[in-house]
Amino acid sequence: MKLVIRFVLVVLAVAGCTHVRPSQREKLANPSMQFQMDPPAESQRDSILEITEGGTYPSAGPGTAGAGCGCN
Amino acid sequence: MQLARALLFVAVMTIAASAQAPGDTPPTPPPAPTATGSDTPSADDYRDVLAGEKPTTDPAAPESSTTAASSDEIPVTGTGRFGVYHDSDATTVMRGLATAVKQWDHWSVNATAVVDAVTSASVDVKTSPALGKVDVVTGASGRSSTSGGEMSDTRYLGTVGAGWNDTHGHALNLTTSAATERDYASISAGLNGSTDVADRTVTLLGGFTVTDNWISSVLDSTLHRKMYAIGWSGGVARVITPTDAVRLRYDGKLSDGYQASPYRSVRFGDWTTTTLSTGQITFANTIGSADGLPENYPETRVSTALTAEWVHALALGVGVHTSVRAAHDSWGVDSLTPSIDLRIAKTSWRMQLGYRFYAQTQANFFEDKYTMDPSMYTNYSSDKELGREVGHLGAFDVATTLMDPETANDARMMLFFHTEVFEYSYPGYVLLPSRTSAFIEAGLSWEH
Repeated sequence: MKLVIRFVLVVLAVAGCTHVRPSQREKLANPSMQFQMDPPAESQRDSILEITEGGTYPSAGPGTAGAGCGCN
Repeated sequence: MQLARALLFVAVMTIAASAQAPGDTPPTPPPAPTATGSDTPSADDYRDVLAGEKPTTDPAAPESSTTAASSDEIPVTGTGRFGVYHDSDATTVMRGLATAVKQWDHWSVNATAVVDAVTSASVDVKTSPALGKVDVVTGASGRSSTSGGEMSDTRYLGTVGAGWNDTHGHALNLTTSAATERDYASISAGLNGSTDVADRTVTLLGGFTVTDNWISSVLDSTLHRKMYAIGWSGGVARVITPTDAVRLRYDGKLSDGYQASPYRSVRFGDWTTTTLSTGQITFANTIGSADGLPENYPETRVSTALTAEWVHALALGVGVHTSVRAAHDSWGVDSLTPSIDLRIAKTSWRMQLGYRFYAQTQANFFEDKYTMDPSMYTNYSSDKELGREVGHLGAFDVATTLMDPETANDARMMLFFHTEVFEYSYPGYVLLPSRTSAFIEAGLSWEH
């Protein structure tokens, strides 16, 4: 956990010196660069993982109502 | 019959989603990549670093698609999907999903319907004192189970949402959901939003959800329990170079109420098992009843997770997404989840290939075998997902354009296939050392 926090803080700190102009964001605008490339597919996957993994739960995003029969 | 009804339901939703698809009306003008080096941006110049749930720019899109369209001409977009999940623990889920989205200027509404038809003769079912027996009439399915305990049910989930986006980096989304099956129902509402700052190179996000659940049992008409949950989320995303963006997100969840399964029981002592020809698993050498006792969980569980993500462009249309999620909860379950995905998004096709690792520690009250008298334990569970667990997930997605937009009024029709393979091991868990699962899905989508 500490390693993750340190990594992110370092990345954000280093990035603080950089300004990316709008004209430089062509690659970033591509669908391949979205944090969720296919939200419906990832939502489907998350609904499986919430059942099959004891430490996985949905984030506070949209559509998080769930129901389960306990048979999995 | 239930499956037929489910498929019909999804088919209707899919038709509704596609009712105004290609050719009816013009799409929302997608943002065009800026050709100059100007530092004076327009609203469309920016990549919203949280843009995973909104239309994205295709740099190779036809120039005509940037033609402005009046807001009332923007058609409905959507997707229809059908998938099958099957695992080595004798559980099969057939899933249908349909979504539809309609936009007006800064506003949008969306609807999603999901139907899951579940059939299971898993270890949980076969060891259940009631479900595991032969000729138990499962109220969930309404039919007699004659194969040593097979449970079936159909789950319906409906979601309706509304969104607002000022196109200048400020967005809000409100979502409500309801899900029901024979022995479980839930409703939820969620609000989340994001705002861009620092010349729109940084996006701040946050949200919360509330969920209310009703749990009952197909075998015990007197069982009526509730479980409430609230979730919260906050984070920051940042563009750091022309080819890199990072996101850090914190999620939390508080659950309070009945969190066990009404069908699972816990046996005590150094028990042994026998599998009958019917499939039922029986226990011997137990302390107390061979049927055990119903699970007993703490009523409250607080979970938190921190997720760091990084997307890096190898080339135009080729990206790598990596993430690490670390989670902890008040039951003592700690988990770590690194993942990596290679993505390719070209004008007429897309592909994604990913791997995800998962490892968790066991809950502080979980034991593979509760060898002492039940009175010695405050809480106990037979849920393998609360024990030690190691998982591997491989995923492959491919999508291709079936119909290109011929005019600015058209949408793009995409055909896609989605495959996932899961492998979980449960070290120390005698009844099920490992489980292999696969989920295969195909569908159509109409995009702008």
